[in-house]
Amino acid sequence: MSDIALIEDTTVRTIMSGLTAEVIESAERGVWPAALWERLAEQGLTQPAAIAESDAAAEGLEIEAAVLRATATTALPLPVAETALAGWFLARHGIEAPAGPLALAAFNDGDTLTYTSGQVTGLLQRVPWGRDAIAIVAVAGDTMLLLDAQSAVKSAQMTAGLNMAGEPRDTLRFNSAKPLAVGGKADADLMLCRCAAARAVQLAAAAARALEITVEYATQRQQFGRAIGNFQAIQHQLAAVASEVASAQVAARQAYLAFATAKGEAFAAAIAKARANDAAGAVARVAQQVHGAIGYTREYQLQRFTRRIQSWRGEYGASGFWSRRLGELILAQPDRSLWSIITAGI
Amino acid sequence: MKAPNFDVHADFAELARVRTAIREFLAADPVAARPHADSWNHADPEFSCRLGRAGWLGMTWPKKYGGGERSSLERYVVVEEICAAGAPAGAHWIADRQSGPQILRFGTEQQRAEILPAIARGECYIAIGMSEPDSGSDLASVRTRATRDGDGWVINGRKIWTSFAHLSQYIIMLCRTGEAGGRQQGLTQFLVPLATKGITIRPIVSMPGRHDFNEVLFEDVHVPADALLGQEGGGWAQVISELAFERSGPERFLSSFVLLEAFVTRARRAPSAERAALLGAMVSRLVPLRGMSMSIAAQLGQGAAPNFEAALVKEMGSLFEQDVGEQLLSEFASQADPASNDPYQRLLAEAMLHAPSFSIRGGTREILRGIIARDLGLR
Repeated sequence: MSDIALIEDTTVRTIMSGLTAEVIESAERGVWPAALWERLAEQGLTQPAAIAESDAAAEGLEIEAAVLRATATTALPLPVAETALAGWFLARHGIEAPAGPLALAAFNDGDTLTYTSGQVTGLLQRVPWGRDAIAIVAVAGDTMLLLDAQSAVKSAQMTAGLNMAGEPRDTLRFNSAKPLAVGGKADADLMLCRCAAARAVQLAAAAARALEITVEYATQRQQFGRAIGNFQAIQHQLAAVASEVASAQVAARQAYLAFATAKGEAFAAAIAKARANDAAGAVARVAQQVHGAIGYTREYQLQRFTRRIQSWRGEYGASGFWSRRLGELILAQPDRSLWSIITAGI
Repeated sequence: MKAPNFDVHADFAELARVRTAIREFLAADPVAARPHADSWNHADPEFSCRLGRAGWLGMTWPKKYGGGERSSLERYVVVEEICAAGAPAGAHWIADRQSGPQILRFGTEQQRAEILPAIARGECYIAIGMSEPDSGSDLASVRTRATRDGDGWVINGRKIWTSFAHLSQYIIMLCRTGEAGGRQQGLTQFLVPLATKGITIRPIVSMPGRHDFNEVLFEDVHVPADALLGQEGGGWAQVISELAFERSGPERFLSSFVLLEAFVTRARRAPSAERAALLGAMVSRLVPLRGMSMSIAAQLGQGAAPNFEAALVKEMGSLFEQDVGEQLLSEFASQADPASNDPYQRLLAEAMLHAPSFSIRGGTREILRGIIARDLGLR
């Protein structure tokens, strides 16, 4: 087992040892799973890049992707991805990440954050785990900010929201708030790409897990005197989405590689998120169909993956958004053939 | 459930030199003036000879057989550049891709010395004799029979969908030689000169109106003992070993690429949000597919047999190739015209008319999905 596979495997084990049915249920009711968070934090899994032995960006990113895959294949109801991403942005801006769960702006069109004379004013919409985070990484204009989430929550400036998976997506208002730290000039667009690539990793992993659960179910569930997986109608649906899973996984890896080499990030992130959105959607549809009615219950595990897939497909850019961005990137280079853009990676 | 392995990747950046060289060669060649969709099914023997003279065929083979002793990844780059340029590579395609390697692996010294250098020069083409009128997806049901006759064999039967048999010098055919055991036993491959007495080649015109396919009839065709390729009774295993090479290459997702390129040229003249989105949606499928295919190329280069992975590429690749025409038909509507001088109009017609073959050749979509289902553990 490679080091990366070992990290992924260890993370899955750590999560599974604390992710009881009760933890899952109470997290759905809005109870913060503190003990599980602490366990992950103790092992350094909430800042995965810090596990890297070298300073090379590539190693930190590879480890981060492994941890994100583990959180997605377990449908972990905690902001590990958000904390990891926030930590990565903070590190690039020379700000030490505060210990504890961190949130990130959703980079929504509706965000109205402004930063003038040392004060922050405006709205951040649908912030993942806004209510639970101790701090939020956001951008106002082109300035990166670390904002105090809890003071906004305490001063009743928060509107609680959820995504379809029951994960908090809260809207916070800031009125002349003083940021915890100011990070200097930031590229909000590149940050959105980075978040999209992370969600693509999670989507691909959740889709892979949904397929795995479904294949297992199809080999066990008997109807008409045989396993339903013996029917060609079932086999062909699952075969078709197996290639979707593979392509989403490859696309997500290509995007992380682009960030590791700091080359063609927007191009690769757009591809990864568009592909992962569509692939995971196709997998969820087939997984639900093959399961029949049992898949439509809260009791059975598939719903945890389906609801995350359907939520994440829209977060940090739906397919229409990224397809258009990707097309515009290509059309904006009149001197280059499509093929030369593809082979060069941008 | 078995998970496919696409973790192996090669550093294609190191192949920039060969990419530049083949790109310059193709740009300077007369075929650049008229690219084709599905160009690896357009035969132009003169182009094949020019490729061979420049060293772009038989690239991985030993020099003593006319090869270039280059890496399989260098060959991959050359092949994808040919597909992306829409160059008519049909004449030599099968010989360079699978027959040559098959002869190198299973052939006699005489077969290698005679045939491989001619393939590498772009002068010798080989047809695939697998399908028969009653044996399509069910390949193990082939009935063409080779019977021992003194030292040699007599072949009777017929092969169909034989691309470019009318241009080829040889056919590698799967024949029944024994009765014993299951259907997949008792099959043997033969390498037969198409000029042999008793062989009749009849054209089959395809839907786009082209003569690419043939039916090949064998009536008491006498061949010597050394026409046998590989092991007597080993035909099925030999055929299967060709498949990873046959199913995962760039031609499995680039058949319509020239149309996408022509669309980009047009859309740059009249850009819109819809056109950008359409283009982006196609490219977001193509780039990961290419990544999967390149990973397989790297694995093949290491001697692995990633047949499951190859089936996934072909499944997804053929859908993509078919969708390019399908999606673009919605833009610049009703302009598909096979006779047009406008490349976009002509390529749209070519891509649409060739599209049904994409998910049939090299294993139908249904066969491929069956293979994937088996590897998933469903059968």
